Amino acid sequence: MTAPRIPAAGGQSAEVPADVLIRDPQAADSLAPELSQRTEIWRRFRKNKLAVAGLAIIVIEVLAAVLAPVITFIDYKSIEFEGKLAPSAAHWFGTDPLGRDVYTRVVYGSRISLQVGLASVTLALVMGLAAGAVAGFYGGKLDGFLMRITDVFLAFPYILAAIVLITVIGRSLWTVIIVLGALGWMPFARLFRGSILQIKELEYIEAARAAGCGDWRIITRHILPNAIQPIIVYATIFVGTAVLSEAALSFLGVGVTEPTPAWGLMIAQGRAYLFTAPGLLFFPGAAIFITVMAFVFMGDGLRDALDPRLR
Amino acid sequence: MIRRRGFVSAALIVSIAMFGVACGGSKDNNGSAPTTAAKSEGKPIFGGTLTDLQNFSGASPDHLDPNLAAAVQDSQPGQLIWNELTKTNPKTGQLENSVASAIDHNADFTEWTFHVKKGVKFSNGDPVLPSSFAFSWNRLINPALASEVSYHVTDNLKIQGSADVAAGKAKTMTGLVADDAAMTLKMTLDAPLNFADKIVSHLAFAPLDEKDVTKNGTLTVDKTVDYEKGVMIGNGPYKMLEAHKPQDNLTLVRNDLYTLGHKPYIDKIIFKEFNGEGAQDTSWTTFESGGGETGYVPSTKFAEAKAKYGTVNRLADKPILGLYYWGFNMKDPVVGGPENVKLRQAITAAINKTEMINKVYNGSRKVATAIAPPGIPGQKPGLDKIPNQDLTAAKKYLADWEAATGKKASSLDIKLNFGIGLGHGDNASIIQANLATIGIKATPDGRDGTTYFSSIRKNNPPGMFLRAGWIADYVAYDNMLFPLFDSSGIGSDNLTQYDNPAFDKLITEARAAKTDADAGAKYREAEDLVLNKDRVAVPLNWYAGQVAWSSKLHNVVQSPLDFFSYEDMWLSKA
Amino acid sequence: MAGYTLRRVLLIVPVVWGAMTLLFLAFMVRGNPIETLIGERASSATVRAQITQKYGLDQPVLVRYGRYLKNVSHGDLGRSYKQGRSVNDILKQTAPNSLRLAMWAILIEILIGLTAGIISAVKQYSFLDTFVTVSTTMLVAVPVFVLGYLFQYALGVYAFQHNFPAWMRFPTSGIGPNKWYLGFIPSAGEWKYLLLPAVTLASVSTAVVARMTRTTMLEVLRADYMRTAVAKGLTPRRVILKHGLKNAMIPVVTLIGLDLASLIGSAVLTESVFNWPGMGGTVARAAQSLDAPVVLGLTLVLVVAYVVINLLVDLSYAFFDPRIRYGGDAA
Repeated sequence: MTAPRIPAAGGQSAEVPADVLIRDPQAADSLAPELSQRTEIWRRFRKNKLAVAGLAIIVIEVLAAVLAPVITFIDYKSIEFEGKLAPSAAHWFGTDPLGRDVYTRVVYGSRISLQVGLASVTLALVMGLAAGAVAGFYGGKLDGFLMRITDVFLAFPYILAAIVLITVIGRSLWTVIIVLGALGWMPFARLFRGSILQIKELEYIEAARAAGCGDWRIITRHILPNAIQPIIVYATIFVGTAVLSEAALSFLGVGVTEPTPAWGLMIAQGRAYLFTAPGLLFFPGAAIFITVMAFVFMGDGLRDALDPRLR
Repeated sequence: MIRRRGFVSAALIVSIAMFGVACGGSKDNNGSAPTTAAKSEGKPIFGGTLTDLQNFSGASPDHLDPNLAAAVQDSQPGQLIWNELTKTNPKTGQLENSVASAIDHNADFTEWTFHVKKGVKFSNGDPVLPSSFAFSWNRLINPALASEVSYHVTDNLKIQGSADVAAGKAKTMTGLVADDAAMTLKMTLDAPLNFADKIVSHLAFAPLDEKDVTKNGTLTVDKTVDYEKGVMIGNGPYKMLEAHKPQDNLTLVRNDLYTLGHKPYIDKIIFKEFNGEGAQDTSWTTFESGGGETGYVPSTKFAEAKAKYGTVNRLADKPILGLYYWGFNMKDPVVGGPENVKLRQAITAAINKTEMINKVYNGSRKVATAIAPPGIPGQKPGLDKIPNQDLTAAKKYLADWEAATGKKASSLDIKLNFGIGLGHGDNASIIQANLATIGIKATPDGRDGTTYFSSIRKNNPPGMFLRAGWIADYVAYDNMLFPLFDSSGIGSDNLTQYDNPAFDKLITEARAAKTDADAGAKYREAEDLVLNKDRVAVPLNWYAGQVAWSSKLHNVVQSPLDFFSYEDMWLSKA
Repeated sequence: MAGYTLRRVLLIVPVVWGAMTLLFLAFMVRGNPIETLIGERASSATVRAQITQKYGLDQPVLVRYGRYLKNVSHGDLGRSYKQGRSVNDILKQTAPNSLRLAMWAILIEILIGLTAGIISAVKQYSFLDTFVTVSTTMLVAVPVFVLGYLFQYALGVYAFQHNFPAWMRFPTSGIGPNKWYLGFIPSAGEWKYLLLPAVTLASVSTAVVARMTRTTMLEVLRADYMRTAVAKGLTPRRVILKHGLKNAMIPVVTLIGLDLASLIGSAVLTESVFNWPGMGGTVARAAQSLDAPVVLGLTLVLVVAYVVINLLVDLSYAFFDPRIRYGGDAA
């Protein structure tokens, strides 16, 4: 998975979110959204069939993850069946080489993927927004310093840095989450900083300042709501990327460990049976594919809904 | 010896003794040239280039220098570039003389004399002399080289003075004397060892051309000289064509000065290298798409490959001398100690070895019913009294353990320790499920593959029920037991930290035994102690070959030590 | 412009230094590399002591850090713990392979990605547009290694076992004869080894380039100056190629430039599937065996490559968009 990054000082990003960033200035000049505007955004979002489908898939997946014990019928660790059975009424997705039910494991796998995606994006958001807020709001030397740090992080080859960090820290689900988050905060920081720089000097912020509002209040109440749109879009796509990255790390042998039913791990184990039992690769592969597509479509839809000029 | 490929990613030594040791006097192994091509394959043809995809199918070599190479795969080219004093016949597993013309030893096996053949040459024309061996062996344990295989001299042979050289206090061992005029190499050992002639068949004991090795300077702790970076000079059937190209290939060509065996048939051998997580799959795909003559079958593909290549006699799937086992940490309060023998027996009886072989290895291995695999002189299959799953027995052992200790099986949580790498995790999952059937909870504890063994050795964090495996360096019962279970191996290869003076005594006696029968009996008694009395380990399976080849290649023989004798292979013209 | 360039060049120093320090510290956390140095076998205390002394492992972190900085500034990247080889040698051997693969992936990316994106934008809402949009989104969501495997089986194994004509059969691994004209044009025997990995590596970024080209083209096509150009009476083709494309190029050039930088290092998956002896795979494996000198040395080179290419990309804006003149605060 190549993950092109934001240039050190150019202010434009690459990878999928690139278009988001490019449109950033325009997106930011719509001021504090009102309720009617949110309805309008939702109306525009609803018109995008793919985006709605994406949202529906995500909702279904979250439900599946939460209700996994209810909608599956055996222990995902159980090896009581013959290995590599083809899909059938008893085993909807077949069984894996050890004789475990693939359907059960794919359903439980959604827990891992969603955990990785959502937790790592949360971490990246928190880190990125904090750094961006400080840099953008206070400016000066602190800004310079923080931007150099983002430069440093951006300069690492993404997947290699992830591998190095995971091996140094030790493999576990939480390591994967922390590493993906810690290597993904920079675009958020840059986005937020850029928005703040633009918004900071606007009249209503000065008015708020004049009214005696503290920095924290100005950032959370006045700046964040205005800068949030491109960040939401980027965050949505980030989740999809994180799911793919988890699969790639598992493939390279540095992801979560057996017997965790993670999709990436299942693909890594199933790849050897491409011809003898294609389901082993297909079902977890399709799960990843659908999830990533869902987040990408939703991100696209959100972007178009938030910035109507493009459609 | 390390076996890097497949499911065994860690250092494994095993040695396999042949008890060809008579009481004192002369040992004449009568080394003849390797058996020539099998009649059934027709008349050998000279010429052609062999592209080998199997040997480095898992990774590029870390080292090719004979004093440094540790893994089986890293040593394979060295087997062709160098010939040692003795060698293991790839077909029979018997020890034969190679550069040695005769071997003498004293009655108690502490003094050995190797008579070196005259007229043997390195591929550059320099003579192979007793001093070529002495130079190499002293270099092997030179701390500046920091060789992973120096233990062969310091811990196994225990040549007099080797400790001083290893400590940097001396340059040469006092117990190793080369006399180039008389063409003898004399070796004095600290303790009796009736299979010393077998140990020196290992690649680490290859003769080196001092002039060539030191051409860029002498090795010191502060100065590294990369002999293996250039073209190394040997005395074997093949020689290096050019410097090794890491991550790409190593190319050998016939050595025309070779006289120790028949003239090799194939002109040139290209060992292709594969790296990365999916290396074996990539390598096999390459073989299947016509990219080379030999291919290593990943365990996951074994059933398919057996159907396709086994039926046309193009698959090496005979047993090799290696064991995959899981052991108990004997210092662990939950599973260790004499009071928990019944628990260990219950766990042993709960594990389904057949299921593991079928599901994880696709039938490529054999159920192990003892520690020492067949092919090791003196070993006894079925020595393990719990040879495979027996749930009735398992439940009974468990009930006995509960009654004797007053503990409850339901309160147990057995940690299954393994180094992450394809296969070990699957095995842990199977053990976890097996133990669940007798009501014992188990939790897989996968650790980083590279540091797994060091963490177990240092007991930090301690293991409980831990994965291990071993492969033979030479054909000797001793090293199936001594390094794994002798108390001197704690902190090293004795991963279970088994410490039983009765066991240690049996090994010492076996090493000094005057006849094969005596030694074999002692080793079997020691193995019985490990398995049946103390239940230190659960032997799960014995390794077998996993190499297929194209219809062009003939006379492929895999030795019990997992090596191939490429000098005996030939290619049809088509 | 000169002042800006100088400032940007100087900014490289703290970034590279910071990256190196972070990596160095990461490996300090994991402590003693003795296991990597002497392999998996437990060794005598004497050997351990010797190695500790030889590599200065008993020295304080700061001393080791200082020594590392000094060596690196002299162009000495150290020695691999695991193989004992000089990291400079490893670099010399793997870097050209990585660079060639990345370059060809970029060429494919430009050729296919740009074309698809432009067609898609110009013919917005046509069948072609939908096709490009859907297929590129799908391509982004397919794991690279799955794609690689499919190529290997279809054009390697299947083609060989069903006796396809020679031109349709591809080798599935390795770098082949490793012969190149002018350093990067594959020789007759070489291009077949190159094609599958290059296409696989290019797949994701091609999709991204196509999507991005489409978006920026759409924006540009709606810009005022475009309407002016049409009003002036220029033909649509000329408008698109001369004005549209040039202006749409800025973000695309950024993307492609950064791709070149990141593809050199991040081709781990492709390298792994096709056994291509490049830097990414080497670093990934070294990391897993805690071979710090290799990881540090090669990553450092990748970081430098990244910042340098990044700088060149930024400076190239001036060419594509005359409105951009550097001088003020561009950070």
